Amino acid sequence: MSEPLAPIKTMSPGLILGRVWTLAASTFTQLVRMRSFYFILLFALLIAAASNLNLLFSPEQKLRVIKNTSLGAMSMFAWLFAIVATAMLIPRDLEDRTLYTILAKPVSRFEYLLGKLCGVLLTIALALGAMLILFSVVLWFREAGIVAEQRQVLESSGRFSEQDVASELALITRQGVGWNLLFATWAIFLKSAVLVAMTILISTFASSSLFTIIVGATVFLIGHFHKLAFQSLSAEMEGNTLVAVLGKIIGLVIPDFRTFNVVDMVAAGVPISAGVMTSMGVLALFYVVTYSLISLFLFFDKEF
Amino acid sequence: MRGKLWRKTGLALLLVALCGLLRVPFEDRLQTRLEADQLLPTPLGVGMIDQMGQSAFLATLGGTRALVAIYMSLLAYDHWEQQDWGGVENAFDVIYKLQPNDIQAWILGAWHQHTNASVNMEQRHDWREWKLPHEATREEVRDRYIAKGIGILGDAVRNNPESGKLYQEYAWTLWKKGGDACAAAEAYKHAIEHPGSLGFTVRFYGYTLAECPGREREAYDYLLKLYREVKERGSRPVPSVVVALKKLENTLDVPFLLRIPELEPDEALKRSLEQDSVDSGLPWLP
Repeated sequence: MSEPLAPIKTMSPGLILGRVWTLAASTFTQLVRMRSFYFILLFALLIAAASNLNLLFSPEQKLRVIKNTSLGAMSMFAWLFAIVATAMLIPRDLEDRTLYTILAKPVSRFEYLLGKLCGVLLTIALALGAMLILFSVVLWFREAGIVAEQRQVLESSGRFSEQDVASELALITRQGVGWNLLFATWAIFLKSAVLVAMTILISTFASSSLFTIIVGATVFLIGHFHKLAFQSLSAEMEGNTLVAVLGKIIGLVIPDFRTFNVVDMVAAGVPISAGVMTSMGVLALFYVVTYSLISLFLFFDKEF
Repeated sequence: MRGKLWRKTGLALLLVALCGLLRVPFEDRLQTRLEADQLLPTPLGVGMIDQMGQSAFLATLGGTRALVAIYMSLLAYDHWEQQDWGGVENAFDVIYKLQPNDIQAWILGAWHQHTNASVNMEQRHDWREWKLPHEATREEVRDRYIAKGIGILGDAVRNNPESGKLYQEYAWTLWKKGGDACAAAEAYKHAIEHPGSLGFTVRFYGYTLAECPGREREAYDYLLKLYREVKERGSRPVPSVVVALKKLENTLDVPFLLRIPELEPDEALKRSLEQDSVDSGLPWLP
């Protein structure tokens, strides 16, 4: 008769990571099968439309339109996917009965949740990466074309000095491809990571994926303006303790997504320091870790 | 079981709030830093809902201001095609608030008012439908739109005080459209001091000073300095600088011996004029 596995062997970090990776990869496959990457085709069409849009735009505005359209679409994809795809994960496993099979194996509930979290984050990261590469290539070619065209126009007019031509072209290239696009994409990813963790938390006590999606979307919306709304209300209703207390409580419970809304300004060329990016990363990590641990608390002894 | 779920959910909310106590101070400090670095856009007032519609306003809350700005550009273009200048103004007003650092949007929006709208209102046959409350002339209606365009550029430079290009546009509009050479001179001075302006702003500062009553002496000294710098480099002075200096010499009654020499046409221009004379059969009189 074979000896039962010593519990300590199943808890080794290597095995834990292995199981989490397996679950993450399986979640990634599951999400890809849901045709989530077809959005990239839509995204490509959107960039093509944006790069041909000409509403009396100056050369730098033409590039800015491509950049803003692409980053806006990436933002929308990231937060929509983070809420909707994550909301469907656990209920789907429940429907397919795979949840029972997984939890019957020596896979802890912690590993299951972590695997799901990592799978969604991996999908979002790859999708954002693909979109970033796609639109950077389009932007690079468009920038090269516009710069060449403008250089010819400015030099052939004979009215501009070399310095003036360089100055005008610098204004155009400022709206082209640069490291700021990577930083903007990083900010989008951080926001979606917080959303994923928050949605997993909601789904651990929610009765249906629709409930999770609705609550997730509502919290996402409120998370963008609750602080400012309560600041204005407090200013108007000075001395009203109830409003102040309510504002504080909501501020403690609802995440403040406004902190990650740096995409527009970063894309416009406002410099962002490594320290600020690291602080944003630390904040996002804090959200993800706390929400994941609280999700585990709810999921730990949940009966299915 | 349901009771247990509710208790656990309540406890989870409490845990989230407790974690919030740790999170909020760090988050507030980070937001203060982001606002100081101008990385967080200025929050929009609730009054913007009327200007842009509820859906667009909600979209801006999700961090997609730039997309909403593009949508407003489409609206503005549509209004422009229909010559609805109020619609153009409203749409651009939203764009300025959404993206106050988009210099080209300010320039385009102002141009629609001080050039397109003003000329259109001066020439269209049904301009009376847009008249001011009192009986306004075409010129008054035209000037009203020019003033709007100038006002927009004034707001633009207040929002982007480091933009030489905006000051350059503002100065040109004040000078050529508004007829205010003194204010234009001040704007050109700012344009020279900030990056993004073109080389001609150095000369245009002098020209606008020359047209500003009481500052002719200052203009003369400035343009003379530019003239001498060019001569010292061995280059040919720009004809408009010479013309401006000659005019100021007469205005200020500069002694004859201190005046700059008349400008000779350059060799390329001479040959071109001679060739034109040969081609046309008309005498060339240098």
